[in-house]
Amino acid sequence: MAEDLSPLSQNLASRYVRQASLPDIGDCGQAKLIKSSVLIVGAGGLGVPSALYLAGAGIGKIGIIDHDCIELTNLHRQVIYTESDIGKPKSSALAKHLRKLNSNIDVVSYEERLLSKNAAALVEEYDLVIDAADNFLVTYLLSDLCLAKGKSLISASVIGSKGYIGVFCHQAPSYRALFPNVPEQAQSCSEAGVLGPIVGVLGNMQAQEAIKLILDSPMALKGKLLTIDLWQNRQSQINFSEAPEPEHYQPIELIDESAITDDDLLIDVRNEIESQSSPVKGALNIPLPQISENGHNSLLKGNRRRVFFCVSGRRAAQAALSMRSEINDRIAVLYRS
Amino acid sequence: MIKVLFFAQLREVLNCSNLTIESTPETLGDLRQLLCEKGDTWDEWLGSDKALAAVNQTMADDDVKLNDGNDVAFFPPVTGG
Repeated sequence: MAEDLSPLSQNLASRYVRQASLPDIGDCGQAKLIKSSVLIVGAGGLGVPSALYLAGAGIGKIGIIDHDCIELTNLHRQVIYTESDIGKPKSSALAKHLRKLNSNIDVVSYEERLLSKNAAALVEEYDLVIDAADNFLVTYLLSDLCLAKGKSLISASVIGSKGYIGVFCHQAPSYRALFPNVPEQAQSCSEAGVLGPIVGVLGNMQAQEAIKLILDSPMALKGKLLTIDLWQNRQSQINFSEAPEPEHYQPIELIDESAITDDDLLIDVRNEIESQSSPVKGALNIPLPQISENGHNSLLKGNRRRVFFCVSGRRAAQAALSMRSEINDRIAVLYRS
Repeated sequence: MIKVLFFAQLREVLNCSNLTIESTPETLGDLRQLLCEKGDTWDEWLGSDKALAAVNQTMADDDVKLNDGNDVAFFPPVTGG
């Protein structure tokens, strides 16, 4: 025991005694948690509980990336934020709370979007990644990077009272092995609604999986998808550990407005009403059905980069993928609110 | 006989959480085809690149042979939180 405790001061040993006394953790496991680092992508309904419990558990370094500010519509499920926080950036508000909760750990907040240009360096810097974002393009970007770098990706998602959690990439297939390309049909919680407690449950489960992965527990959900319906109290698991990686897939470059130049052709693929309610400066409005149905001969002329936009990125990705099969390069998706 | 279960948003869009197919189709792909023929919404959500399928809790591709008594689950891509 005394040898195992050596990396921990008496102060830290007593702080974590209630978890370190568990046979699956021990002082050795606690020392591992203290030396580990976790990147949490998204400081919303999943990211908040995940971050809180990982900070409580003593994870040595926690990075939080989120570009959003706190809104009134977030408070029913992102319950750490208060009414007086409305308008403040989520990542720094959450980071501030974590530092107060545990001054022994290093908390880094990134008030920015996860984009193709910054994602690789961030993933590189941390031991494992929690996908607590609500965007397919982010999930694919993280999955591709985690697969390439051999890091575990703990992904979760919730709509209504139903959700899933799964562990991808390191010693497990990637998200693309389940869904090779950005889906045509999908709902997101901003479109379909979401209840608070189920998001809290899945965010907490992401923290628990992170702890198991750091401790190299065979009980981690590697290559497994756990689905939960808290309204009907149902659970089910799908084992995808043998799923083959797709031979061909098409990564999409995610960029923000700062990367757009005058040479780019910016195409807003939302419908006319959406486009008029929050216009994108300099963008041509061609709704996705028109791109899919009518072909895109006018867009093929010249060799300008085509940058597609819609709010969630899903329709933009569909447009980008349908274009790419014809022009092979110079395609990107703009990620902004 | 095959028991088919639908997960996540499939339950709402198909308005169905599970059903039983009395005569066992030969492969998972045949089952998909059978389900897709139930209507446009089924066809839109259950195509092989649109929802993953698991036979007895293990992810399976369309070539997998089905046996009497198998449970088949369909799970769509979802994002949110």
